[in-house]
Amino acid sequence: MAFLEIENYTKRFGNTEVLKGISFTLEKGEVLAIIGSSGGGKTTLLRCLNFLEMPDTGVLRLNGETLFDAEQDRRASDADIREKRLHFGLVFQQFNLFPQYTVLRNITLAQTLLAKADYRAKCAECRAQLRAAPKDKRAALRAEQKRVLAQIRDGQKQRIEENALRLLERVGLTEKKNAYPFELSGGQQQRVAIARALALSPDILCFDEPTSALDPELTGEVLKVIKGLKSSDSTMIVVTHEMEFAKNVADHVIFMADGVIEEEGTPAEVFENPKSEKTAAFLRKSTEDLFD
Amino acid sequence: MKKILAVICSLALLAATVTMLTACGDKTIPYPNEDGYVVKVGVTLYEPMDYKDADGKWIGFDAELAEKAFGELGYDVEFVEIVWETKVMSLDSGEIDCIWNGMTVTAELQEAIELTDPYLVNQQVVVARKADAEKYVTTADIAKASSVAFEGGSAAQSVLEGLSLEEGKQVSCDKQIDTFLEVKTGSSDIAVVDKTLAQSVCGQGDYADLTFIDVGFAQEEFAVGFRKSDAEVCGKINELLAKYATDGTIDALKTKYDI
Amino acid sequence: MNFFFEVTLNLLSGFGVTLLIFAATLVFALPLGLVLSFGSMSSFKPLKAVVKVFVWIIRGTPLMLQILVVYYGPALIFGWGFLERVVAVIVAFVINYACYFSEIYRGGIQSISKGQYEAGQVLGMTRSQIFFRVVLLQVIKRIVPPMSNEIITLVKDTSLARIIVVEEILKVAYDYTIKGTIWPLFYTAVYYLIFVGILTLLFGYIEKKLNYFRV
Repeated sequence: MAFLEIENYTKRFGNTEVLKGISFTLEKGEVLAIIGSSGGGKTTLLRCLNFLEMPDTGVLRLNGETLFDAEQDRRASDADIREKRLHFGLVFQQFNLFPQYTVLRNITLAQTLLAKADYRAKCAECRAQLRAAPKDKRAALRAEQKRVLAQIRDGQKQRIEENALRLLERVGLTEKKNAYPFELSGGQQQRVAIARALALSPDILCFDEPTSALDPELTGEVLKVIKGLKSSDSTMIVVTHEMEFAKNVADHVIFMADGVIEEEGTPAEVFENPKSEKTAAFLRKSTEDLFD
Repeated sequence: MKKILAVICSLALLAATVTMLTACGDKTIPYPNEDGYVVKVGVTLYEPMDYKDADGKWIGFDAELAEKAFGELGYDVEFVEIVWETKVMSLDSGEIDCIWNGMTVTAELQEAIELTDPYLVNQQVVVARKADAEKYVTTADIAKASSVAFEGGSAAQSVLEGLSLEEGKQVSCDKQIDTFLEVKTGSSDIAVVDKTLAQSVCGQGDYADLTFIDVGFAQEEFAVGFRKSDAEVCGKINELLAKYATDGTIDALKTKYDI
Repeated sequence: MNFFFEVTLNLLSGFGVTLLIFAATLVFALPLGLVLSFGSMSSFKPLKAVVKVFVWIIRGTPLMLQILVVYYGPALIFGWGFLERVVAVIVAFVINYACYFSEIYRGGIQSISKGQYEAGQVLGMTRSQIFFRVVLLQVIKRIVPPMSNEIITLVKDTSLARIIVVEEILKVAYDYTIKGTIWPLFYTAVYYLIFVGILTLLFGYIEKKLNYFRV
């Protein structure tokens, strides 16, 4: 049983069928690279995995459990979708950091909001307990609850901040924690975006062409961070134009063209010995581009 | 979808406009006055016909006449300041019950509202800077001015139309009082206004260097205006005005306000 | 000197009316504009169409005409009574300015990249969290310059209240010209200038405060 199983994902926008039945599997700790020319459906697939788009058909299983089934989940509520999304992280091509927050706040924001919701739920629980308790015990119970809740609140805050600082260290930007996004280079912004995505500890971290918006001399630092994540056993799906990176880092490569998986296999199989003519043509072209 | 809605909205607006034009005339002054109805008299600041004294009370030739006449019919009077351009709308909407503000009788007004017989004679005069005064003697001389100011929609406009001046020479102002500023500053050479107003403004305060000249415009008449639906009250006021003309009331007011 | 003092005081009381119209318009039109802007961006087509047509009508007709319609309309069309003059002016101003504000809001909201919303979504935020925590401050930063323009225009537009004889500062000054004194009319500029000056400083301060980040 694979960690992630995608079965027959399709998606159309109006008359254009962008995904024509995509199925693949991914093991825990593996890195999957998706390559292919633009318009082939790579980004749409990634967006479907993160539920930014809803696939028209298909099933997604995570750890053996069905997380999404287009049949049933077409009309899923916002809250349900949000919950499903938390299993996946996404790093965008354009970073999309929140400009009005510091680096640290960018990383802690989502977690803080989730913790707040948790805390509020706990409070509601406590109130219910209090109502159920016999009258003479209430005062004591209330004092006890107050203490516990305060502990939770302070603990959460500290935990979230420590987590963020650890992630910042991992992407090598500890000294930038109080900087604002516009003060950072593109490469630094993307590293913060990676730390932000990691903060919610997603099961699978997705990258949508993470270096395409960067100057060539800045791509290295970002790829290095992604490589570093691999050694820490993160499961990742990377849509990329960086063939060298796909070759060296990925465990598994998918070549997509015209909405279907044209070819898949280990980097060695796909890059050294492509079975499909389309793949071969694409690889030739990208090597040529490199030397132009 | 949008187009359809746009069409519907436009039609609704049109319908509202049409209703507005046709729904007039519901309001009347009750006669005889059994419930202590207070007549709302529409006025503007227009010395010496209607203006305020130091305490903010409305006085003037018309104000006193209106109070006296309505008083005899058993009404109290409330003066409501209006904007002259929209006076007919004020009347139709019921904001006021009558216009008593040195209103010159014109053909358009006769069509739109109920008018009393004239109670005072007015004339349009030329206002000029004192230094230029001798240049303007007859109506023919008006064509010599490089520009002429007047109040848009006023009796002055009507008489000027009869002179067929060039379009570019005509300066249509918001209010009669604006025309004095036009002439004082030299923006316009002359203005054409009501004689009653010119008498009270020229030579006063900042207008000390202005004077007015009777260039022989035909005489006009002031009347009081009511809604068409108030013809009965209008008739009663008419009877009273005829009485005041013979019993000396109007002459006394003329002397008091220097008309 | 005594007369100058009297004119100053009278104009000041007129300017009080001006400020009342100004403040009431802002208090009601700012939130109403936001509601309208959501309407004009709604994915529910009929609502969107109605709001757009409404905004078109209000922005496409003179404010002076709208004041006349609000004040005389109910009496002329339905035979109802009259609103308090200043209330009628405020109603017309609120409707008019809400429409202008809604377009500014809409421009500001739509200028925020889709990526900001999506970043919030993949981080598990709710719609309202995304709006209030992520988008709003960026929108505010973008709309401060056009809003300050519009609000300064509002200060001067209050003089249109004269059309239904509201005793705002310009009307008070005009009444002096009828009595043969012209200078109070020009003296009113001092009041407008001082007030607009204060507003300009305030908006400059807000812009500076929001300068710590870039969008």
